[in-house]
Amino acid sequence: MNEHNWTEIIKPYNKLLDLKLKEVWRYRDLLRLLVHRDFVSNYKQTILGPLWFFIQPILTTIMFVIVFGSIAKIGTDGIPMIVFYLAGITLWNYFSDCLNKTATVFKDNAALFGKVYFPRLIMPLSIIVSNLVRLSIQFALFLIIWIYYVTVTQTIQPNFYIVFFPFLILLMGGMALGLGLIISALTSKYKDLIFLLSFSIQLWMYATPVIYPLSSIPEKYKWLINLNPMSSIIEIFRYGFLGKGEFSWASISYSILFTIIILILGSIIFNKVEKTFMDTV
Amino acid sequence: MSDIAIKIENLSKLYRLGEIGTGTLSHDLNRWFAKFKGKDDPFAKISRINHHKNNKISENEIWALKDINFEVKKGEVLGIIGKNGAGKSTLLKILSKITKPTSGEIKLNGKIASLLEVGTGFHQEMTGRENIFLNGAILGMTKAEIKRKFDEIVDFSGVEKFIDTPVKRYSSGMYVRLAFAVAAHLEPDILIVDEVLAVGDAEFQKKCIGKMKDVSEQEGRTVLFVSHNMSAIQNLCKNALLLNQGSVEMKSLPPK
Repeated sequence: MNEHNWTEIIKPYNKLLDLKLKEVWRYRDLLRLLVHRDFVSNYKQTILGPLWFFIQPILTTIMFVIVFGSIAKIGTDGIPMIVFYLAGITLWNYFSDCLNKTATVFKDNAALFGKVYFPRLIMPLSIIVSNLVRLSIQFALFLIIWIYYVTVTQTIQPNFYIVFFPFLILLMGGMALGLGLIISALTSKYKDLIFLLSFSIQLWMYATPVIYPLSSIPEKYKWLINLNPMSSIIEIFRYGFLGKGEFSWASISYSILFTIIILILGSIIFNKVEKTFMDTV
Repeated sequence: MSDIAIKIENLSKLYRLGEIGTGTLSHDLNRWFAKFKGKDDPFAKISRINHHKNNKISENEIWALKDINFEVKKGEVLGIIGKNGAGKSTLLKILSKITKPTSGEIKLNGKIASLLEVGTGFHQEMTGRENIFLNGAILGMTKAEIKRKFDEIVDFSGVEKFIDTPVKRYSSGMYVRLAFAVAAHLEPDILIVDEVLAVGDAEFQKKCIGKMKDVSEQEGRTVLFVSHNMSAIQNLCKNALLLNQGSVEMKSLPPK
């Protein structure tokens, strides 16, 4: 009998960074179907259906224009308020939705994970992808309004840094995934964190130049905002599309480095937790 | 080429009793702190079970499985029986990679698929058709495979009339039939089946048993079959594994 012929060996411990990416690739159809499920199930039995993708950012923008623009009178660096807020909201929503969902992936899928095996990484990945699809729909809305301001009123001058856009999206997705993986490992054990999560993400938004431009922050406190790896992403996006914002290689390098470290750390922790979380969840 | 499909060596699984949530943060912090100072893990009995084989476990722990050894041949239908709490589910969970063993190893030859509960991952709002694809993919099939077997699955389930209706409108029998049909058309080398026959009417149960027989006898696949239904076990299996408080005993069953 050939002892070396086993196709698979189940052992108590695995390697530290064994992500089983090959297996993830084999399950790519599942990823696609999960994304599909997200869309279909969200809007079944609603009248407006996918229109909700547009209504959400529009309503938030109107609210921001009224509250932050007209009542609190926070400046927008001379950019028309609607396009300024919509830019921030579109990007931030993508990040916060990704993070919010991946952070509770073990808890939300405990019933499924407890019954059948598939590479667990598929779940958080499918969350990122389905938010990516949502982002592209909402980004189309932004583009329509943006084109109006560029061509009709000519109040904004975009520049070359627009080409960074796909890269910024990648960066945000990676950061949300990495952080989400870390938090998901913790929420599977300490449920308290779930309560903290949405609150923290909200706070984080205010620490990011979403509703205000970075230039409105006094020089003294700028380093604080710059510590936030999301700041440079939003700023560069606005710099490219709206022509006002701050771009520096230092801050973007910082965000890249942060994302890489967080992703590696998240993968290690996720990998460790996925094996026994069923016993602790 | 070996003819062993599954080989289990010294497999053990330890569970903690009581409420896991309470006190774990302080335990964890303590453990980290001890590690940081280079000392031994103060809760070593929980995490380093590998190193103590002499049954010394604290009161709030239990061996769900203890040093289990057995082999299953290719094409065999092995029944697994035992009282509630004997460790059947734990064994199946480890086999289907849902949770890791505390110590020991399982060697597998071939693709494994488990049917611990039919209808896992069914989405209430989606139609039968959409759910066949989703469920099939969750169980490890590719889209092309599911497409190829789609008609067969629908035929087996007998719900073709309702295939474009959301499954939340299905009767529980229809639901289970559809779910089993998807699972029965997986083509793993090793199939794990847990108590799925408890549901469905007599006719459907017969169909399921027939399908499992086909799978093993004609297609040469290995089936592990857990049930409390002794007549079904006797019908399907030559041998059965009797689990009792975490240890096993192999029994050969007299043909019915």
